[in-house]
Amino acid sequence: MAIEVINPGLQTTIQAGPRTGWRHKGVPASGAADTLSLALANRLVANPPDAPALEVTVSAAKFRFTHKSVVAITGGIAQISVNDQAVRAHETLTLQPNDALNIDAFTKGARIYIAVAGGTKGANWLDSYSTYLPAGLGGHQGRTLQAKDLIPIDFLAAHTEEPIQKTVTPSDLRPHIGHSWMLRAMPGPDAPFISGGESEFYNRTYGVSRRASRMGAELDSHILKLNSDGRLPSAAVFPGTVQCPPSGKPFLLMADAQATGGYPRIAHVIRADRHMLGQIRPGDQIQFRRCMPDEAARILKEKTKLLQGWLGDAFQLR
Amino acid sequence: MGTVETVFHLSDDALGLTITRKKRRNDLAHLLRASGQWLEVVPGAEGLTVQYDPLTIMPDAAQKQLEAALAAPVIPPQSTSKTWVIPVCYEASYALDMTYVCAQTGLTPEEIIARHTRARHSVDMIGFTPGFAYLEGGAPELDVPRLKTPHTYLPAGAIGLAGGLCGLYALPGPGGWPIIGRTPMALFDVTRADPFSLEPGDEVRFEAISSTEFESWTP
Repeated sequence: MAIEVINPGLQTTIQAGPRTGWRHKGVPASGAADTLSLALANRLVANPPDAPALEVTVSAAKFRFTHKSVVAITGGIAQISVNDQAVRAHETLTLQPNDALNIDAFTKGARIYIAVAGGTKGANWLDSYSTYLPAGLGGHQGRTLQAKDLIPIDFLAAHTEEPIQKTVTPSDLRPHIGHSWMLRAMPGPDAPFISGGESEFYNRTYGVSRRASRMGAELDSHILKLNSDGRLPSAAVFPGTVQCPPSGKPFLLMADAQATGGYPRIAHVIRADRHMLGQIRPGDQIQFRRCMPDEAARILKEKTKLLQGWLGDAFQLR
Repeated sequence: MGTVETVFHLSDDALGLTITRKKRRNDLAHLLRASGQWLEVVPGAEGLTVQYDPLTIMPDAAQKQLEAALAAPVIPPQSTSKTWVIPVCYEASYALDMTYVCAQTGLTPEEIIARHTRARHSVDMIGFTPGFAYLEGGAPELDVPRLKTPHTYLPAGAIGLAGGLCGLYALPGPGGWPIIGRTPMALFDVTRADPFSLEPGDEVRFEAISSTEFESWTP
């Protein structure tokens, strides 16, 4: 019981929950770039929120299912079809043996998740099945999927549960995916280095440059000036940290962000909004809204409560 | 202590802490990690950062909890620091940037090797990429700038110099430090529960080996 890769597109990897507790050894979190969409896909096939699934990036991709499988698709916006018949995202789909699932080039968003009942099988490294490409670890042989790869599905896990109830994601819980993003962010410890102060950072609209990957995205359109030579003692960075290298183009760190960095940390996207980072693509527009820790914690509580009503208590925004 | 340790909010789920004394930073990192109260405890060159879950502890309470940990008398954890003797082949095929380092320092390869093997290094921190170790204590003459154009691929075990530090690449990947040699010793073992050998505070000495020894090296 497997998924055969016919066309992996630009970059398809297996992603699940993050790797936690290893940043002091230089190990990034990895995991789904958009943790919410991964959980929503898994919910539709009765998997735990962090079960390993396929993360497809931006371009067209195609997969064949060797056996009858229950699948669901969430995340970026694209035309999806099964054997040339259009199907919808955010609903439980039953595929027959040899069915081909086709995803067209996305029109919005950067990542689509394909969850399959039981989850995909892969390598577990430091308690996570997520692929970390730079070190070639986790997921399917630590690498991006290639045409002809056979990705095993956890058959036992798929068949121990009761028959899967077909369902759809409630419309009010479907994340809005467009071309402009409002991210709430707290000023970082190095924000005072920004020439003109914090407001120079917040009251602007940024474009996303072509330098975008699972590690992070470079923002341009507005170049910041820093009162610093751009190098500071190495310090911890996380998914959500906004660094500002000497180029003056803020760099928004994501799931595969390195553990430490030496560029000024000028802002930090709040935990409740970080799932959006995985959907940002080159050409999109970004604005930041100032948000302090107490407000951010309240937003996180409310948003988590709302989502856990559908996704279960195991779901966490990270 | 003498020095003021200031706690600041890095984000809505992380606190930063400025500490300049390495011993204090390493002891504190051990204690905070052992407390099980933090999701991540990450040392930096001049401090520590801890991450927490704001669903279980509010930011202000997390700050108080960290400040309380700082005020508590630190019982230095049982010294776990080890001494490592790391074999290094400095021959041309492994020392990709020896010419650059010679030009920067005005030393011959022999002089560089002598200084590198004589120094008593200690692990300052692990970071940047999985298992990458920053070592202090090198000879002051070996302070060279990073490469203008980083290597797109370095093998595991590559050893570089930059900014007065020595760096060990535990895993293959890109890297911007001028490379003076390579160790055949595995600094990373995927099969171990903790796959990384080196810890902050560990002492490291390098021992020159020939390319023949490199190729036939067994742990």
